[in-house]
Amino acid sequence: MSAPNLAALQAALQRDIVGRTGEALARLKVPESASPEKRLFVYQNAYVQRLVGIMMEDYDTTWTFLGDQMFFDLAQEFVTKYPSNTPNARWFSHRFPDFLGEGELGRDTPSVAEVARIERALGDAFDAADDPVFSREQLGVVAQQGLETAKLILHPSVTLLRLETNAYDIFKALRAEDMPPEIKAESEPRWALVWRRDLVCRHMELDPEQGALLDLAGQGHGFTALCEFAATLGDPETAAVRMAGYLGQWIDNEILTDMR
Amino acid sequence: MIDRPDYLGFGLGLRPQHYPEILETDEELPIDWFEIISENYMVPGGKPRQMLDRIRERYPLVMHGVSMSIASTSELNWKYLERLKALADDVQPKWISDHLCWTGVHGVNLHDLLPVPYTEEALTHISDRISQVQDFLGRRIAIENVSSYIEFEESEMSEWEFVAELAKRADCWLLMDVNNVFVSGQNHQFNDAHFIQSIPKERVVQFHLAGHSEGNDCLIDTHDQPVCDEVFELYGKAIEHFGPISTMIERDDNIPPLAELLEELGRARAIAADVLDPKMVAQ
Repeated sequence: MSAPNLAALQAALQRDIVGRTGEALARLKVPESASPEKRLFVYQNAYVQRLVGIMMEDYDTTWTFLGDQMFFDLAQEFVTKYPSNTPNARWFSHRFPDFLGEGELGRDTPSVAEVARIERALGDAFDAADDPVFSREQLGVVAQQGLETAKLILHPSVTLLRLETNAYDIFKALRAEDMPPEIKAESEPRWALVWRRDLVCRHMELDPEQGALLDLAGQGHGFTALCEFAATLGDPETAAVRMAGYLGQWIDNEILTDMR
Repeated sequence: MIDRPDYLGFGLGLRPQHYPEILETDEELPIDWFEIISENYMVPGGKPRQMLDRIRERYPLVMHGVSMSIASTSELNWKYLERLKALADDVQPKWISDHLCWTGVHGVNLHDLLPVPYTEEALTHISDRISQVQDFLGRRIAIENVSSYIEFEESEMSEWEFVAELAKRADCWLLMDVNNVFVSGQNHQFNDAHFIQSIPKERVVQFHLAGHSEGNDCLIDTHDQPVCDEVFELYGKAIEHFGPISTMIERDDNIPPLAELLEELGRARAIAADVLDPKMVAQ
């Protein structure tokens, strides 16, 4: 250790800021008219307020869904359990939806974590890499070479969410400042697609067949495998046509970056 | 004699709220340059990087970071520095700056600019780390004095003595935040003008001007208010001492329309015009 006294001071002050241990107080120097406790509190308070404030911005629909007190309590618990370890505060709350999916809240009200997952996907889409988008002209070239084994490469901004509840309906209603529907579990999974097009983050629901097929595509299955799977989901006679239709929609919506 | 970067004039901190006003106007805005928060653009792509590319076609840029944690006793974050260097390669900033502070130890980032004790041990430690960073980036960096609410019993010298000696030992530049000098001066009851006059002229490449708030027991560096009269007055003294130094308004919260910030910038320009060669401040 090149600076042992400095290291000990920093460790003590950090523990005091995060955990309010009081151990750094004796080493602080403030004017006679000031209080070391009050001065230290500026840092202690700023630590929580800053991080919770960032979470309020990144998960503002989840905040509305939960209400002020519950969101603040959960956010504070999250900050305590998972202190930031990232240089950019933008990333520190990335696991907040997973945290919301744990424990009693996750068991009793899984729609909360699902709404947060939709918001996280929107944040991820915002500054995802600028990979090129795959065009119908490029599809023509790939088709000439043979579509059968071609795999679909999703754009880095794409997140496909498999939802077990009506979280997407709740999310849309809250964003529109409407009364959200009653929370309910769905008998079949629902699919929400989040992506960026023309620098704007977008979201839409996919029907069950399209969602399941895009999920498989994202896992690296080739076009033929997707057609075969489509045949198990609906009329086998029209599976290839349906799959071609979906592919056209995906290209037009700019959610593919390549087929190879 | 140190070869300092060119004087840029009067700038603003670039904030996303102002992208449309900056990019969609046909008027020539009275802004000479922008400072970006480095971490906000250390992202894979999307709107931040596209806006930045468009703005840097029209304005000189400097990069200002908040997470180098140069005073931390934890290992330098080389992954962070690699990303910073990659951004600098893309942006080609006039210079790169960060703060004389630490943001955490043991892998934690408190996202705050925490002060250091002014000791010989800290001087040696921090100057060594600045040298390592400068060697890695292949350029001098500028280090900014922070606002603080506490000092430490073990300090062996004043903040201004520490800052001046640090710049000399690390052979780095300084970014003088005039508001931070004022806030810390009030909080620790030192003479802010004396602080400024104690800093070596040849090291300072940039001034920050910002607003602060009154806390329960001290002034707090919130950057959510206009620059106050006392800080503008201190800026006048700084200009008298240092001469023409690239100056900017730093606003991070409660962000007003661009026009309001331009008014503040105009006031800084007028103060400088009273002291400097008018050609240096013309817009």
